[in-house]
Amino acid sequence: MLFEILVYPGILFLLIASIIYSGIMRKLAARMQNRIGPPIYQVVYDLIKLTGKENIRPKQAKTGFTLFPAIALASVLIAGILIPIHTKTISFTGDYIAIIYFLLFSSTALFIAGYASSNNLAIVGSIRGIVMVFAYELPFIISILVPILAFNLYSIQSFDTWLITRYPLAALSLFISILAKVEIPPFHIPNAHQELVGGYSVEFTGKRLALIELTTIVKTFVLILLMITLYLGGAQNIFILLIKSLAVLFALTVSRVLFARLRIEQALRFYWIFALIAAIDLIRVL
Amino acid sequence: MNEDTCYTLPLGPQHPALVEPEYLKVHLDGETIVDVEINLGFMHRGIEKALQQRTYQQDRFLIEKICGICSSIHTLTYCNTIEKLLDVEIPERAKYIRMIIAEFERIHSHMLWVGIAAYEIGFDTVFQMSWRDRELVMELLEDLSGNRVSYSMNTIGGVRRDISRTMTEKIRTTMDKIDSRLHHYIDVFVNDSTITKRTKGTGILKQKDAIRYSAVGPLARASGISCDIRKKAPYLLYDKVDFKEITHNTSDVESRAIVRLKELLESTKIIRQCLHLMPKGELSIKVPDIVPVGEAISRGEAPRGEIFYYARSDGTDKPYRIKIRTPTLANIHSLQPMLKGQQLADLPIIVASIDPCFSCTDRVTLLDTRTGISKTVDETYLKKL
Amino acid sequence: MKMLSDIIKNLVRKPSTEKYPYTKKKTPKGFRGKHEYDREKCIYCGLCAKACPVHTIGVIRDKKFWQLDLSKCIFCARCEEVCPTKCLKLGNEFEMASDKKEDFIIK
Repeated sequence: MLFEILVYPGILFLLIASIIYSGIMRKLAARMQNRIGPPIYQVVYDLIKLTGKENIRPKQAKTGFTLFPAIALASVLIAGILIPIHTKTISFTGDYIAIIYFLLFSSTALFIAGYASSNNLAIVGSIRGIVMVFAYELPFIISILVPILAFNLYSIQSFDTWLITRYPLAALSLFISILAKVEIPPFHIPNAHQELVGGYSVEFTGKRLALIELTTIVKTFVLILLMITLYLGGAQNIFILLIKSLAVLFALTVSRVLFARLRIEQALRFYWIFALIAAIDLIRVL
Repeated sequence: MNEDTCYTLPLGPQHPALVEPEYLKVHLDGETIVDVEINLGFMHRGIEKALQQRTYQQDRFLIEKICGICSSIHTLTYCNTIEKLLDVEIPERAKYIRMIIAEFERIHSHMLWVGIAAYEIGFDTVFQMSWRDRELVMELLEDLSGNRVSYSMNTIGGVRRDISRTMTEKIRTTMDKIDSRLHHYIDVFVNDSTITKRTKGTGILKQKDAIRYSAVGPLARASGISCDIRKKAPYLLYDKVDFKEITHNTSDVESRAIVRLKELLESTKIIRQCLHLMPKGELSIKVPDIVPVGEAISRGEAPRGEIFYYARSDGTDKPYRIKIRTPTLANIHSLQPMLKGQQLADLPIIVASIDPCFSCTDRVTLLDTRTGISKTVDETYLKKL
Repeated sequence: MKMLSDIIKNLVRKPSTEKYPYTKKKTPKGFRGKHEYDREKCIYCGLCAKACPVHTIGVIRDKKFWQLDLSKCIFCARCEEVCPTKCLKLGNEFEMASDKKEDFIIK
């Protein structure tokens, strides 16, 4: 049990796999843009470099500046453990609510951390992030609830059938909300590099920044796992997991290189339309 | 404007949206821009003064360093001015080579702009691709002049290097490649839904405002004002080649992108005609080092708009005064009517849409905040310091 | 979605960037790089020193002294243009970074 939580398919596996996947994503995006791109292990270098850098705490920073990046990473790891891959590590009644909660909290914790840094740019980024939460959380919750309600389950589990064929609209809205949750274009609005420099992470350096980066990286992998578990027929063994997750990663990368960033009110409108679309599947289930 | 909900956001002097240090103080209400204060002066380099301390021949290389992107048009206009002072006519082949280099420069500058504009709206792929295609022109320029950025092709009395026959062929094939890429980018900027969502209707500069704020170049042409110096006051042999002046009248960011891209199709047309019309002959004529007393002006159409040179000679080998007016200085004031009432998210693309080149722009002006009187720094003031 | 065709093409195309320090592009003919100075041919006339816009060339005729500081040079090739014996030529080398001051001086 402890081995499963800590090593496979638990925390260590999540960390290592997500770092590799993030590297693959960067390489793939580079090739799509006709570049050579960084080596796949570049992410490791980046993280090691960040841990060696100075930890700067701004004078006006409020409480939670240090705490919330760590909380963000912790909660996304908990969400990752709760998602069944092929074995079920922890399971309890209503654990899908816990997954929704921890994934949401990992985003919000980053926004709180940004707010705590008391920088105008970071605050605008955090506010944008919170607005985005209101946008994407509804289609996300609906698309998680659709399979659960369809089979009258008490806890989340791996579906052997390809639910994407039965509920394509809900699957699509889950994919779209993954884009916003990990801030992939066209929805990288909270950390809009061009107008907000780095959004909520602008004041962070060193280990704290490494935590924030790691949170986004792990979140991408966890959400890919969620997508596979719910809609893509689950992963019976590690090879199927590899193939399916790389396919989802490829789709995410295509979105990353294919779109320009939307404005926040355009994104909001977009997601409410997708909430309506996902609701069609929800009504069909009910 | 609600005083309580307003806050200010500093854009610059160091900011990823602005490649060069310049300070825009943005007053915001939520995500809406209420007002913008434009603060110039972080990049003043004292070039006009430095020009007076060097000879006319040496000034050429300093003038080239005013702007890295439009280094050819600066020297071109400078050489035109000094040739007017000297009252000499340069060989026809030199004129055509000058035009070819100037149009190459327009192509690479606008391709660079396409990339920057895409980057400012978070579209990295268009940025990477357009810069890849820009490399075609950069390589041609390197082949022709020996350097990617500072071409040093123009000299007083002609040009320094020739275009060989093999190069002519290479230029022709490259122009065909660039034409096909340009058609693709026009298609992307007009039809890609995520791009039009960001560019259509943002940063509108009405024709009336464009005249009032004396906008120049593609910015004015995108507001429906015809102002191409190549047509209005042809220099070199621009009256002998056939090209259209591109104007567009939707006045938004998209319109500026279309004007710039379509202008490049005209540029490739000009280059092909120049290669065809170019006669054999001398590259340059010998000119004296001493310039007779007098003053002269000259205008040119830089990629960013009208460029203006004034030179005054006192009969020595060094200029008495050279005054430069760059297009960004004329355009930057139009930012204020363009930005008011827009979203914060649109600020980078609107600022980029004038294609700012701040280091050409900067002037030193002292502003006394208590009295509101501004004055320009002069020599006596500097000596007192 | 207009860039989709580019993206698909790029996936099978060779990357257009290169791993710079390992693979080097050939410089074109007439490239303006590090100077090649022929001491034998030089007549120490000082025309290059006079023409240089950044005053980086020093010449003393009596002592047969000629020196160029690359750290100030802007590679405009004006010195090559005025040289009467063509003993000075801008070459192909463009990697001149060094942590020693002596490396920037051509004698």
